[in-house]
Amino acid sequence: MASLADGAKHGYAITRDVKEIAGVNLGPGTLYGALARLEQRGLIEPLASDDRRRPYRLTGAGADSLRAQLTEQERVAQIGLRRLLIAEGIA
Amino acid sequence: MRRALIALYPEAWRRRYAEEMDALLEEQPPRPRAVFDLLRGALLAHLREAPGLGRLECARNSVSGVLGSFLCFVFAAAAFSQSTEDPPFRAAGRGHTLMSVTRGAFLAAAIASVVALLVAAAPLAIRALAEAHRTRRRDLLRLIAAPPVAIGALALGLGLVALWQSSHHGPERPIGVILLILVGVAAVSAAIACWAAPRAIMRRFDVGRPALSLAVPAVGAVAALMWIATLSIAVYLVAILVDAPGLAASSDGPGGIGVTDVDIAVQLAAMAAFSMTAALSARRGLRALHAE
Repeated sequence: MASLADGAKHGYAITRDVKEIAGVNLGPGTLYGALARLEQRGLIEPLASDDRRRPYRLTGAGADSLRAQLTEQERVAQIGLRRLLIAEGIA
Repeated sequence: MRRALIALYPEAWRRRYAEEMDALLEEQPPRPRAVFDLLRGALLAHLREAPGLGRLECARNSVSGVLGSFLCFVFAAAAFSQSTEDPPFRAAGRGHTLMSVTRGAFLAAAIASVVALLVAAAPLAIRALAEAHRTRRRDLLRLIAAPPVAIGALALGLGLVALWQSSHHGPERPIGVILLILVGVAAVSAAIACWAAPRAIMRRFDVGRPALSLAVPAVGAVAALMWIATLSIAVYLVAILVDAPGLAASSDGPGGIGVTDVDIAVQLAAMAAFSMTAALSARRGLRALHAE
């Protein structure tokens, strides 16, 4: 979902983007499994295309869900980093 | 190769995603790891609710899914029965209550699951017969007749093999092996007919919600009974390992090439896998009906 945060992308572009931002090789089966689940939950939607490669974008609900997840991850990361700093300071 | 991999996905999935998946695989030809990923994805797609399906279509697919899982389950269950039907097992069962109780529970669950399956099939068959009669469609009649004819042919084959075995004692002869292979082929053919014919019937005309409202809970019961049979065999396996280790280590299968406890463990794993796919299919159908 984070890959679609800056605009619509088709499958191949998502695969390349995920590799770039997370260093993960997303297999085609995993990618389309995730796209199908997100589409069913109304978090992403396909856009009309003349090309065989159909682009997807976040829906409003998808953007809200992504924002909530990233905020939570940020909060946990900040707590973890702060604790590490405190522990290192004590040591 | 990429077309063959995409063909492994369910039809509803392919309708929705095949073209764009094909375009992706054209740009990024699948390597061995991606092939494995696609195989895994196809399996999961069969277990999950396909995107863009109507509720009734989902319920129909659920019935087909449970039926397919059940037919595969039957082969593993038949292998278990074959492995544990000889006189030494019956004698051990008389001496060890847990073995006889669990084998009895397995048989009872197996019989009850067949009854539940007939309950599921009855409203669909009645609707299909009424439709065939109303529209004079011979294709529907042929499809309705296919499962009973296939089962009848299999029963006849099994009867002939039993007759041959009763009159030919001693070591297995080539003709006996050939007969067993023929029965195996007949059993697989019957299973395919029993799965494909109802599936084709449900695709050729709208069986309607009332028939599915009975069929889907009935296949839910089939899935639950499959789990009961599987759990019974799990307990049986523990009982035979603890109470009759000599019997568990005895040779099994054609020509005695297998070992009983290993064979039962493999049969148990297969039955658990098919019970799981049946339960997931049934859950999809029940949720679809509930959401209607």
